[in-house]
Amino acid sequence: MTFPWQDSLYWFSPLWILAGAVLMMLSLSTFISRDRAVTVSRWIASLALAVAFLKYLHHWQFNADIAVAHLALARTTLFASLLVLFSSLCVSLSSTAFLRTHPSLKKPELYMLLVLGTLGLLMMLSSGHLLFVFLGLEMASLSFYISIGMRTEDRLAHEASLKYYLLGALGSAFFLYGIAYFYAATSSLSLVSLEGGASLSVTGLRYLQVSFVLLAAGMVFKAALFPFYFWTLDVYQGAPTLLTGWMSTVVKATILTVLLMSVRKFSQWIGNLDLLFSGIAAASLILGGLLAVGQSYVKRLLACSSISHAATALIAIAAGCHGASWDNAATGPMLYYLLTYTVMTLGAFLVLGLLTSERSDDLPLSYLRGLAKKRPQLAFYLSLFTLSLAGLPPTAGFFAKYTVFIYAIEKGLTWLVALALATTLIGLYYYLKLIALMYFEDPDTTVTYPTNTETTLAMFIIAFLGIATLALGIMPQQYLHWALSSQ
Amino acid sequence: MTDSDPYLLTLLMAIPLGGAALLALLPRHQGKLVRALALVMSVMTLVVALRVLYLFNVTAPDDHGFYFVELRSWIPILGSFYHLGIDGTSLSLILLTVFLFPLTIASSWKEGYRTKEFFILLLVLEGATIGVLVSLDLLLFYLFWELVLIPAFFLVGTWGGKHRRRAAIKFFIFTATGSLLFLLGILVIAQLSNGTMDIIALARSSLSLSQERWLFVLFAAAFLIKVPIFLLHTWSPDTYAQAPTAGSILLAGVLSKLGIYGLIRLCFPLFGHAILDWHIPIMIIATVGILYGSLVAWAQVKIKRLLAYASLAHMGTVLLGLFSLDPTAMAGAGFYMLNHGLTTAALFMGVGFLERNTGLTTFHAHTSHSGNLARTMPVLAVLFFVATASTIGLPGTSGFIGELITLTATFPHYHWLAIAAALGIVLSAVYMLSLYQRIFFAASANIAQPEPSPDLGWREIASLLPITIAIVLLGLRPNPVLKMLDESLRPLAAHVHSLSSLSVRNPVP
Repeated sequence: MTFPWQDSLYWFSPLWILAGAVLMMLSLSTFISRDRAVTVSRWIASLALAVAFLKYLHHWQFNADIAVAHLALARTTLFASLLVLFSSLCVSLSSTAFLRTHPSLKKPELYMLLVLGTLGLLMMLSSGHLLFVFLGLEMASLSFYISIGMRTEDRLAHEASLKYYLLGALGSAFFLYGIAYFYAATSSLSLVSLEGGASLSVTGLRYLQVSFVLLAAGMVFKAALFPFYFWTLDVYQGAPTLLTGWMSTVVKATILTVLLMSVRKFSQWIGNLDLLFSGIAAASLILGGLLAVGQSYVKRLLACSSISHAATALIAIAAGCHGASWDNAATGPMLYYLLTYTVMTLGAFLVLGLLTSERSDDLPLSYLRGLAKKRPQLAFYLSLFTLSLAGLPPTAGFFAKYTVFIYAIEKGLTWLVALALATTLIGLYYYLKLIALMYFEDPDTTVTYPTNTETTLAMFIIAFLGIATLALGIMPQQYLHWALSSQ
Repeated sequence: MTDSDPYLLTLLMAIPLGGAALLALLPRHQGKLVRALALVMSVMTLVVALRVLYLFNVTAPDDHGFYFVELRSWIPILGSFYHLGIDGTSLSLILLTVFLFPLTIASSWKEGYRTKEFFILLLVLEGATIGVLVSLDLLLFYLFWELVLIPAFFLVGTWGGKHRRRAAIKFFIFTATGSLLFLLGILVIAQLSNGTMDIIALARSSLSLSQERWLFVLFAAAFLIKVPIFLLHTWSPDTYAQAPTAGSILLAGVLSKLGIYGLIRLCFPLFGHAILDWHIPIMIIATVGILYGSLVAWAQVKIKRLLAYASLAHMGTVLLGLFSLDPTAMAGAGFYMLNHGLTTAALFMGVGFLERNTGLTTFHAHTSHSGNLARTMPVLAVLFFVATASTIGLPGTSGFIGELITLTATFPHYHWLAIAAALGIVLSAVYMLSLYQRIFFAASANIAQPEPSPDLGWREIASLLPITIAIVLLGLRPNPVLKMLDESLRPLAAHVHSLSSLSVRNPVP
């Protein structure tokens, strides 16, 4: 069968655009000087991401699901793709400000890796064919591994990169092994084969169960949930702050959506998925919350918080599985949670990125002492995003949690919601500690913040994210509608 | 129903919140402009509230007993609407709020440290408080309830005393625990009510007894922590003592009333059976709180902590009257709550001025100004005495009326509790008069020629005098306010009594 090039070119043009951009940026250094290449790469990357975002936005207007050969886009994965593209675009645009204080990252390859990573994640979201998903996963992971370690003289960055590589390879190995068992069960590599009137023999079912456990293990690894979450602390800490922000938002959005799409197909064959996911969510909430209390580095604190947030999004999936069959209404709350998570986490990391320089990128908590006096605007935005991470009204985080919890209680998982609220209380402690540090203490005289990072573009993006956080928290109706209509 | 002014309640909220946004745009160094604008905004809110009061007396309520109802779509997906409305209880609390805020702003006129942020936070606090008082939708109520915490947290933590950071975090975590339990209750009730979040609709929905009990515990946790009730009160002495003057005035004067209001607005209509089952244990705890608070206040040396414990004792009386389920006692408790707001505001404001002018924070301080302050600061002495008299319950002050009504109406039903509460009155005389004596009449110990401390300036008198006038006015003419409270609380009491399948111990007059 010939591949339908024209259809794929139209419907999946963002993938082609991003791929073309990567190839262009790879060969750029051959023709122009490296310094010029950085600027040109940034333009190419931002333009490609923006065009891709607009194209997918246009597709999202149509209600129908798209399928071309093995490529498929449901509204759910379109929504997630938009989140990924949005996040990458924000990072690409704010990179000018970040690179002013992090000159060792000023290489054209940075943007190439940014687009490559985005491409990989979009590929994961664009198909039900497991090998294609794996290809995208590896492409994205590769770009993460390299871009994290790009800082030439930073041992912490090298450590983070190596750790991520080794442990990430383990996670990918789980995933690949799961694909193998999937093939053993269904003689096909596509999730489509699980739909409809498919039938499996007893051994086939056994193989399918093993396959799911392994696939889930791989995804839990990448999404940083219990029990494979320890790597996040060191990796988030060592990575350059802007890239940490990028990584945490796009990976969570993608992996959780892929998990949801897989659960949709697997749930009719495998029981007790709600038990599995509620257990993982509960353990991640407790451990993520407790781990965060004792942290003394900001990025590690945010890593623990991202574990809790991923767990809360997982509650929606767990609630969807709780019942006779998969309830697709779980998709809306989870997508809304991913939307608000992207906005607030990206905002927090962007602000932090503007505050650090190459030497101080490890960001101990004491670095932010008295920030409100020296950089009141940035302190305000950081507090806004922190309050949103804590889940307080009238910020985005509140309604995100509320929608997920309402859905979970409706499906009968009241105990999990009670546990999540209890860990929210623990979370309040360390988030408040961070805000108290910024506002109630006097600044450390030995600490100086860089003065040239607050560029118009970066501040515009941060302000936009700040307004979005408040809008999502005060008038969420429209955005809830977006998420719910993407089910 | 006023069709001509359908935006009044929104306006009431929008002025302070909009004012805060306006202030944020002003340049930092324009201290005078910032203060003037803040004062103007809060006075405008007062004016609007007075218009609401005027219209309140000439219009009729809607079917459910609420005035100035506004209903707009907000988040239909979650069953939540922008539903506002007031009755007598909320109006009286709104008037207390809009009355105290301009005076608090005036009393903090000299705040020089980060002036802009200070007044922005005060205005946000005012807007959020009014928001709680006018919301008739559960989710909207919760949003404003939580919004109140944030400016209070920053006010205590940035402008407070030496241990402000710990006090602020303790305050937030304690109150937030209650709020999260409240949230769990909201989530459960949303499930049980088929998706509507409207308080009026929820009051009509039928819940099983065990559901009501659970939900009552969850909801009341948030409210009782805020009041505070004895056993859940440990955040309050530290927070009141460490807060800046404006913070203490508003925390003790306004925010604690929000807890009582939450009980009245939400718990009584929705969880009547649970209240019937548990109102006696709550009354007992409240009464123990009266005695405990009074005794511990007596032992205090730091003035602000003493007032914090005194506040605990007085709110115990309010809770006693409220949960006695006697309509007259409930109206009396509502009145006493208003009185407590005014009195505590006056006390904390006076203590704040004292601290500012003489440096006095404890009884044993030997600052150069201590001793015989009645002679050197006569104006403060007089105004502070009015507040002290109201705390004790001397006739002529609103404190007398409140205590009289509450305790005499509670006595027929619950003799021992009323007697114990009356004992609290005696104790309040002990600690308040000794406080007064030690501050104003004590002779200076070591210093032969103490420097005369400056008395209150015109601004400070302008902030304190209206409160004391209000205390005396309400003490001499309480009826208008009492009628307003009675009109809204009597049906509530009747509703709870109607749920009781047993006959009441004493017939309700």
